[in-house]
Amino acid sequence: MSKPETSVHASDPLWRRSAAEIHRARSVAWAFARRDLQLRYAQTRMGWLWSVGQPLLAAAIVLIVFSWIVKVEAPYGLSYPLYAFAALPAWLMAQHVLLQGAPSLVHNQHIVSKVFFPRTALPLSKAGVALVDFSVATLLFWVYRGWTTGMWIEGLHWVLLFAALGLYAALGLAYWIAALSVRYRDGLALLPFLVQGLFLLTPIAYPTERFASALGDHSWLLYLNPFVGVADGMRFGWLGLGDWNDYHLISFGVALGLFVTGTWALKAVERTLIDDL
Amino acid sequence: MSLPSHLALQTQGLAKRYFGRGSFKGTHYWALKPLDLEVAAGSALGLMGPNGAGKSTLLKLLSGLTHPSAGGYQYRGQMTSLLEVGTGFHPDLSGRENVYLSGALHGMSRKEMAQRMEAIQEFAGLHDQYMDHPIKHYSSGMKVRLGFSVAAHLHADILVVDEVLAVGDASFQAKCLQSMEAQMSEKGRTVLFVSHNLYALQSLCPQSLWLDRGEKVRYGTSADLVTDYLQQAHGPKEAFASGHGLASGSGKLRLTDMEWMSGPPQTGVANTLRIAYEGEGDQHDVDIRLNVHGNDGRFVAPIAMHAHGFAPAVLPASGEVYVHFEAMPFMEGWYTVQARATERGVVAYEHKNVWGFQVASGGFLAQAPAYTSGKNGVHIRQDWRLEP
Repeated sequence: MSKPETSVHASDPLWRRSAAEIHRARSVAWAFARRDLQLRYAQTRMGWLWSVGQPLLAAAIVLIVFSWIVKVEAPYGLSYPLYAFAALPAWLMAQHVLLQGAPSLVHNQHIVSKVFFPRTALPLSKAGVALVDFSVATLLFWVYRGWTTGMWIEGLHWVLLFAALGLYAALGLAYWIAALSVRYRDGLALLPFLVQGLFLLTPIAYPTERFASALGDHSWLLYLNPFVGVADGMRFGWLGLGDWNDYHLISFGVALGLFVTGTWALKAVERTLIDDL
Repeated sequence: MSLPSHLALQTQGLAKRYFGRGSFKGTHYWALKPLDLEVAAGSALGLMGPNGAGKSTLLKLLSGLTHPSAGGYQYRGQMTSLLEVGTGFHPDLSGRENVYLSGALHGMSRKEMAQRMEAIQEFAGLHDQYMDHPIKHYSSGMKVRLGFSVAAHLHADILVVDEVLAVGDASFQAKCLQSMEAQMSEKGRTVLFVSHNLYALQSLCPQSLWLDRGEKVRYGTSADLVTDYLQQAHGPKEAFASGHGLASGSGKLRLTDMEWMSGPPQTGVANTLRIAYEGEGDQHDVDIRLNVHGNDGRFVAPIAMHAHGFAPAVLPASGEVYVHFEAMPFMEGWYTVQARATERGVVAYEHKNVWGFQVASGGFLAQAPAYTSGKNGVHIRQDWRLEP
């Protein structure tokens, strides 16, 4: 009948994070993700068809704006849709995590202030819907690539690796903004511009080379934006363009740094969260 | 530091300080001052105190929502806090899915909740078909019942409950109380209970802690604390207003004091009203009539001497009369009293606002559940039956 004892003290180090807590964060995140998935297309006429419709709409906008109006061309004589759409599913995933995850603490104040669970669970849960959407969009692109190029299995492991890079980078950023939003809502006000800026500053709809050439010798700076690594890597995986680039490691490093420090930032605000929110 | 085996929870100098913001920058105050508390395993502790006493702060600290500024606490087993009924419920989800979600927020797996689903459904009194409907189509009562039902079936060694019984209808409240009592006696659960419903608090918790302005006022038997708390909590005792120039009448007889003799009145509990008067010479054919008005100034009920067959021919010049109530008929709330005394049919004393008293909530009848409609009114004794 010896039940575990729990002890909480004012002087507990901020870093303390038990295995049980990580497990709890995951199970709560899963419950929230489940909720989001169940509610995703509630009261819509098309229901889950939107999972297909949304990436198609995003693709159509990129095609109209960047190919037809701005007349961007894909390098190496590739077709523009094939080139641009390769990085699109991963970007849409990151965008969802950022737009939904960053304000999740503020949006769920009524829950957060009434029951304790590790706070990373809320932004983390947004990865659920994002991953489902990513899978659907990736499946669409996979069929499109196979249809047009005859490549079906090539490079898929790279796609997964760089998708993970995108997910972690987006989660890290979302954690940071969520943590800051407890006290300062400024981050939430900036969020739409951040997402829009990231989309434009990341070579998704245009070739990486166009951007890199603007920086000259300092093109490595580009990879400080981890999504550049994602876009690059997606083309590398899907289309075999370029090589494994050591600069990618910069992106991986930044993403990992964001994720780890973001987790820590949320943990740090956890203690006074409901006093400040 | 290890927790002694007979205790479920122990705090040592547990305290919480808040710093001022904005124009209060640089200031700070203690929402909870260092508190030492021991709660024995399988017992129930009530927390009482006015708003801002630190009750909620203590619960927030214990539930991990906020971190202590000083001191700490230890507990054994799993602690579950219910600061709200139906935390996390989403209107678009079905009853069943909401049960899973709410369970997950409190650390219960889907499998554990699935095992309890039937019991939860039964306790809440919801039909199968409702469980698969979005709860936005539920009545508010159904939502509350489902919320509490989830709470009652969570696995917890220590249950921290904040004012959740304030919702729901009286019969469901009674059911919840019974369920909590059963959990303590059968499963050896420890309960920390905050309620403004002192009747519920008293019936559930033998011991209570009284907090005020972040400090422990007293710790002891709930019954004693409730009595003293009621006396103090409702501000300085409303003085009998005899001295004010508002009284009129011949002055042959003047009311000088009124008082509930068994302490602050509680609905359904016996009490005796003492009425003191003074005057000159023998008092013949005295009638005293008190009109009791509710907190909105509406007339509620008379307390009348002759009308109740008490009509002594002669009373001494000064003295006291008593009105005994077997069960206090007034519901929870504040009442004001208009008094009028006549001697030989002549108005000797009249005062429009002579006295006031606060009635605390309780059952209309000693064995009945508490009635907390928050309405000002009186209970009329009635007999319910199946046969005429």
